[in-house]
Amino acid sequence: MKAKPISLSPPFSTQNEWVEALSRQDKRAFEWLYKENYASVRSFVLQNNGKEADAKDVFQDGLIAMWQNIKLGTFKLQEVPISAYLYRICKNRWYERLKSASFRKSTTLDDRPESFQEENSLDTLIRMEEIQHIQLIMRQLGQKCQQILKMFYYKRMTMEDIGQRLDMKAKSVKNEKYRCMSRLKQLASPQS
Amino acid sequence: MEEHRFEQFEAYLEATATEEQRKELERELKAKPNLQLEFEEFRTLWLGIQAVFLKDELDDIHQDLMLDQAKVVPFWRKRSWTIAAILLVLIASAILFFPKESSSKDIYASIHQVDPGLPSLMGLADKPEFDKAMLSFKKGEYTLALETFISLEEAGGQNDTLSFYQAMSMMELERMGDAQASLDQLLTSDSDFIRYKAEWYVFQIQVFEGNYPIAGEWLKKISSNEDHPFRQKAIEIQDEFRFPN
Repeated sequence: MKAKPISLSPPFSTQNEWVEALSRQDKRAFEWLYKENYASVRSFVLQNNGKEADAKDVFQDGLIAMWQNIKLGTFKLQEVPISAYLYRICKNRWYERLKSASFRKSTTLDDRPESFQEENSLDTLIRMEEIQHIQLIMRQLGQKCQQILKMFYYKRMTMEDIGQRLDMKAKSVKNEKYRCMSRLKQLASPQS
Repeated sequence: MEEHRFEQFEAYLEATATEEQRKELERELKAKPNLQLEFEEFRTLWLGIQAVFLKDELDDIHQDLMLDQAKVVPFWRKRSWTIAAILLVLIASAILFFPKESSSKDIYASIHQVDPGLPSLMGLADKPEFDKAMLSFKKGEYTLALETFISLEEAGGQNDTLSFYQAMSMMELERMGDAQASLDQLLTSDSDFIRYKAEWYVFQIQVFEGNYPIAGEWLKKISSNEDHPFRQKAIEIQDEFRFPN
């Protein structure tokens, strides 16, 4: 008797639908990709001198890199299936880490196949460290600013809907959002 | 930065600007280096804000996933020795009376066939070493074949055919990570023949490694390409195994 892989239905069928869903931060898309692919990436990282925490970092870093490429319009649909693309990014991210100075001291893994150097072609605008930096400065903005920015930029809600949620007029939400963004910009680059 | 600039950049990045507004901003960005800098700074913030919230969401998903997996543990721990004994009997019965559940390696073994090798020497006829390597490959002497393919490549004979047979030798030696790396390079080969074969074997490596969702996506890609030589085979495998895609 042959084993049958468990078939879980993905929430989106075409790559176009996937890209659109990831672009609008549809949670179902991230949940599915996470649940279907994390185990493979984790097993790869653990087999290559990594720990549980590394697997999580590398997987999330890879997902965010893929999402960024979609947001910036640099993701090419037809080249490879989306899970394969994600798996490859994560692998490359891990090799990149292993090659970094801090890891080189503690591991014997050295040169990897050249194909993994194609990582550089993944033109990611911001990396995990920068995200953590923005996370830190956002904490200085105050609760309301964070709520407005989340609802507007991440949840993609309209000013009217945000106003209703926060018991504010749409115009006030708009003004407040501008104030929050100016403040964030100032905190991000205090010299300017 | 003035509010209208924020809105202009925002509309551009969110793709809500009209074609005219988009072109106007692009013209301005080209002409004004300072504005270009401001735009890049804004884009980093715009993406960064969303990335921060996305990271939070991914942490939640991760936590849920870990909790789901952890739920299995208390179930077993709560059971008494009696239940453990029953389980032991059930497992023993399963081993004795039912066929073994196949692993990813078994599925791989049932779909994998060694590449038949080249019918001709494809431009390498002047290299008897290649002949030898191909002969070793066909005889199943994969280590020897691989060494010869590699030395041919080192001698400057690098081409897609050599890379492909290196990958095939690695696959037969079950060095799947190396085989995948070589095949990855061939997924963009100019030769349809090599590219299609590379796709087919990348699919098989994913099966071997138990990465069924990725294997399923490759299968879908292959079976939806009418020109693909492995299309029919891919459809049959999908019917039999129902890989997720």
